[in-house]
Amino acid sequence: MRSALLPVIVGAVIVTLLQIALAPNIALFSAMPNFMVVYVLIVAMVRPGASLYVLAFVLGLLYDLFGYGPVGAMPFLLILLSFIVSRAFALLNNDTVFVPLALFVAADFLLELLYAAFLLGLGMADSVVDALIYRALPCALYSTVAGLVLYPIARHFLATEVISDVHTATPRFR
Amino acid sequence: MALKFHDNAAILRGPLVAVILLVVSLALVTAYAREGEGGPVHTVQNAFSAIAAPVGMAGSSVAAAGDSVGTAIEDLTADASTLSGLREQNGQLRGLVGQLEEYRQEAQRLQGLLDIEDQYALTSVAARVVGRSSDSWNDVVTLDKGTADGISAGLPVMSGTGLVGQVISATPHTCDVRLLTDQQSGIAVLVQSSRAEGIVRGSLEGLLYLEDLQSTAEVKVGDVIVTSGLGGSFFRGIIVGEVVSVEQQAGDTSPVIVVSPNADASSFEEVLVVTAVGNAGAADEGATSGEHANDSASSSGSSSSSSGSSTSSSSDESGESDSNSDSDAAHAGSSSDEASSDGEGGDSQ
Repeated sequence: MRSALLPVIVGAVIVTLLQIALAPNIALFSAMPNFMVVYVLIVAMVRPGASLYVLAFVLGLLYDLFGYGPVGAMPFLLILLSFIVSRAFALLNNDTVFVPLALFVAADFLLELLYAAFLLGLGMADSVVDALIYRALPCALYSTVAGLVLYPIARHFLATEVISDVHTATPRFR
Repeated sequence: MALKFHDNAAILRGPLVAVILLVVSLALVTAYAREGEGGPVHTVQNAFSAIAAPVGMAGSSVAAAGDSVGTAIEDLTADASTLSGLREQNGQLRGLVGQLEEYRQEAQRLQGLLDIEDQYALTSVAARVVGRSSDSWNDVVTLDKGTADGISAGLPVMSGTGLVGQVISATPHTCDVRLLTDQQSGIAVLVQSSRAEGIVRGSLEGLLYLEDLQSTAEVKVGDVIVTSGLGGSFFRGIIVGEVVSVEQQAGDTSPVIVVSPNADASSFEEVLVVTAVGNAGAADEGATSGEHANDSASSSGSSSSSSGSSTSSSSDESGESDSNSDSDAAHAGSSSDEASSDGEGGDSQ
């Protein structure tokens, strides 16, 4: 069990470092990729299970702590989205790149949108339209691109026990 | 039977963990929203940002090295037209330098004519930018100086050309600065020529908007905007920027005023954290006599000669601040984080 989780943990450390060190330096027009979200989405697709939610919580918490947003918002959204994405992937997967792509786009956009809603709710943002145009949309697109780059790499290292784990986590979708 | 129970437990485990963690997350958000800037969650967040600073610095160094390599490759592959273009650009820059030197000397002469007692003497700490926010929703930079160097939350931060932001938190060796362009940034300001008070707010677009002006205030393109010092978040008279657009929208009572920041918030590497105004008496005097203090402070904040344009407005106007403006300015101070609670800026006003 421990050896099975090791690649996931190593990947989490790597994306955390990427988020802190690389993401601010590759920002385009104030939009930067969210490697942590991308990684959680990948794990949700290739290795769902109870450990996924712990990973989503930990990475979300680290994202909030290393950033300047409301602490707790990102873990909440990541857990929610990883749950949805893992189920959707189990249902829709047809071994083409289209399904991960579609899920990346939808999940990234939904996450940025809900995060903006959190900020608006807490009085940390003013305009829904601005949040949508200037942050949610470009960030989601950027993260999707990052996801498409990282997906094959992460899948190569993580997808060793997909089948048994998926069946345990999503028995009704078999 | 036992096997079935085991299966059910395995099926329920994932969603159960998810629900528990969701509840914990919501509890954290609630705690974050309800506690003050000095609360435990905020404290942990500040500590993590201090931990991340060296990693961010390493990332910046790698990025800078990458840029250097790119520039070197560009230089090596530069053709004749590029070289002639660079020579032309160099000639233009030389002309500009000569012109700026004229302005500098003129500004020095004019400054010497002003009453020197009204001039601010800014005490500051030089710092280097070592990191930038790792999320897209905040324009925050990390500096390599902290409380050990006399920096505390609420202090204004200037680059060579003007105000760039405000310290929002500090650890012993680093501090975080929220830039003017951040959507949560708000500064009490006044229009240098008309002395009209308002608030400059950042936005997600990266533009600065001048809001909450008195209805009678007249603002035109080219007006210089300086901090008013109201609300206690900033020292008075620090140049913020210049009005670049005034648009009256149909059905809207107040115009949309866009301010171009004097300092480029995206490219500076070294900044000054203003820790004190040395001549507080002059600053107080400036509150009633108005112009000279702001002019001299503006010229110290920027070498441009724009500060000399506002000597015509009356001292009554400059001293005037109705209750609405005061409350707005105080709001601006509080909206730009914990500055006002810290009281650093206010003490010297």
